[in-house]
Amino acid sequence: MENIPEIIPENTGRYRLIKKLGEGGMGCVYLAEHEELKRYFAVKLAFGESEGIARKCLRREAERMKCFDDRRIPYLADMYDCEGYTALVMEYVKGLSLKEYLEERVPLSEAEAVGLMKRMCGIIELLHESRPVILYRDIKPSNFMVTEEGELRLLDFGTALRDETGDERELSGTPGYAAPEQLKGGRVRADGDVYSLGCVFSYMLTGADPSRPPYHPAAASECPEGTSAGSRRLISRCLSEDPDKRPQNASELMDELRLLKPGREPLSERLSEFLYGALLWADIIMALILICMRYNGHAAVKAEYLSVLPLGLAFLWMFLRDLKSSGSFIIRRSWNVIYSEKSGLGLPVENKISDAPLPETQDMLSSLS
Amino acid sequence: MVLFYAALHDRGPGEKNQDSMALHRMETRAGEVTMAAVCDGLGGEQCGELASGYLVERLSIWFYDELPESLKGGFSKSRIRRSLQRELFRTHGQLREYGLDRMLRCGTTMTLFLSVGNRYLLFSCGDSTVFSLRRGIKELILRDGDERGVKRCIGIGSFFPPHMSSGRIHGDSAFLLSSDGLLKKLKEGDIQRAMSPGLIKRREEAQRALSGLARAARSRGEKDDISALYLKCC
Repeated sequence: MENIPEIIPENTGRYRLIKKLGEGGMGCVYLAEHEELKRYFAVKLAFGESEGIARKCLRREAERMKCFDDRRIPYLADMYDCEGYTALVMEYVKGLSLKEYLEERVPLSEAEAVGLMKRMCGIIELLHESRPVILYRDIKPSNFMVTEEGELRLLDFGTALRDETGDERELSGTPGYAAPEQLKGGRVRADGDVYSLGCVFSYMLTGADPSRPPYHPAAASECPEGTSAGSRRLISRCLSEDPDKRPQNASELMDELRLLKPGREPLSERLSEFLYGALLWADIIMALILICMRYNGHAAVKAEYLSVLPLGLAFLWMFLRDLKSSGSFIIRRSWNVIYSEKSGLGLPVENKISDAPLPETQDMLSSLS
Repeated sequence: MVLFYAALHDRGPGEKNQDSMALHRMETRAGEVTMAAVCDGLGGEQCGELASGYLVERLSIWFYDELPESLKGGFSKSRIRRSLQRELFRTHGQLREYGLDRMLRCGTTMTLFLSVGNRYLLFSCGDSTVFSLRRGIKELILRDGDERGVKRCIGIGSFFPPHMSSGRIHGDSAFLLSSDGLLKKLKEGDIQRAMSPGLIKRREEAQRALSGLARAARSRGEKDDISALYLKCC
């Protein structure tokens, strides 16, 4: 953020700035106290020229926020322009970010994950059902707060966009949580938010944070044993590369979440489990019968049958075992730690000197210390 | 099997620490797989931390996305080496192109430890190194560099495949991966006395010992960034 001046005003309007709560791409958020009401608010400041990008974005954020009158979204208290900055005053939500909440608890039980997903999805549903539709475009745990009362709130509408023009293609989102088409700068629809919700669902169940290497969500097959096939299928659908295969918006996702029965396998799954066991036992019993018949001198059982029997059993066992364990190769991840002062993902794209003469690389090497 | 780890990432007098490190572990159908990497960025203040950080990022992605494919058919040194070399070659090309486009020196050394079950592989390019600590101390790979600088690295000059060595992990042993910052002013005996696996039973003890080594190196005049990863095995 190049626009932030070194000296931040101690007061803005009638608000006394107390401490910095966070910093985003376009502004800083402060805890502030209203001088007369003596109540706390969160004040977001964007600096720069009046018509600069940062201040324009803040005004746009206010436009999005004022569309909602729901306690799960902080209310907008005030907005004003001052010399050098624009201020957005909103409800101060006290609590723990969902990111911090999850970091201590993942992997969650399926029931808890589905419960949290329903609450997150319920908030995003508000956005997707508004007219015109509002796309949040940066769903990730750090943008949700868990209040002291245990309620979930959605913060930071800085990247939210009305889906009316459909051609605003500014890059947004967080690597790992943003849909593939979003990271490529393509058009984002409500199913892009569904992808991000799928990433959070996958994180809750597997414990693999998509914002850490390898910077994509863990596949449904990495869910721990005992996760219902319904949840696995839903994660796979949400994380589909093809946007048309995902639930199309938060309402559709909510419908599917309501159908999930955490920890309970559907009838088809239980049937296949039963068949697996039944086949195995049938094979073992058959082998025992053949052995008994042979040793009782039954002429119909030839010795050759007995010699191939163990082989047949081994093949059957391998087939059934592979069928059963056709899940992910990775069972669980841990110690995902990086120590680096490099910022951002990948190599920066700016400062390229085109048509520059190529230096002698061996000279460069020999001069390195 | 790696039991616990301790990490040291100590910045010298420069504005940024040009060393980068990564540590990842996953439980797979082939057993427990651990990767530790220490990279020392080259190129002065221009983009040392960028090169080492980028390599660590690429290695981390390789660990989760490509290594499992190499392990599916069982442990094979040559398959793992081929897969890693492909990734290093790609990264080398990207860093080299990035540096040439901007008239910068953008390279990094690399030391990588990879364990699958009770077997380990070491890969090295440049003057970072790995020690095995058991009854004594033993440097496990060939360090490639001298006072005049490193002869090979990732991101500058031609691509050279990394040196590789392998072995089995023994009980109550440890590995220490380190950038050259720790090694210039300290002797092997200093490291062995501080980090002997017989003395270190818990992570906090390892962390304290590493910090002690860094202080000792600084008190002897070390100005370079110091990075080290200590892996205690059982």
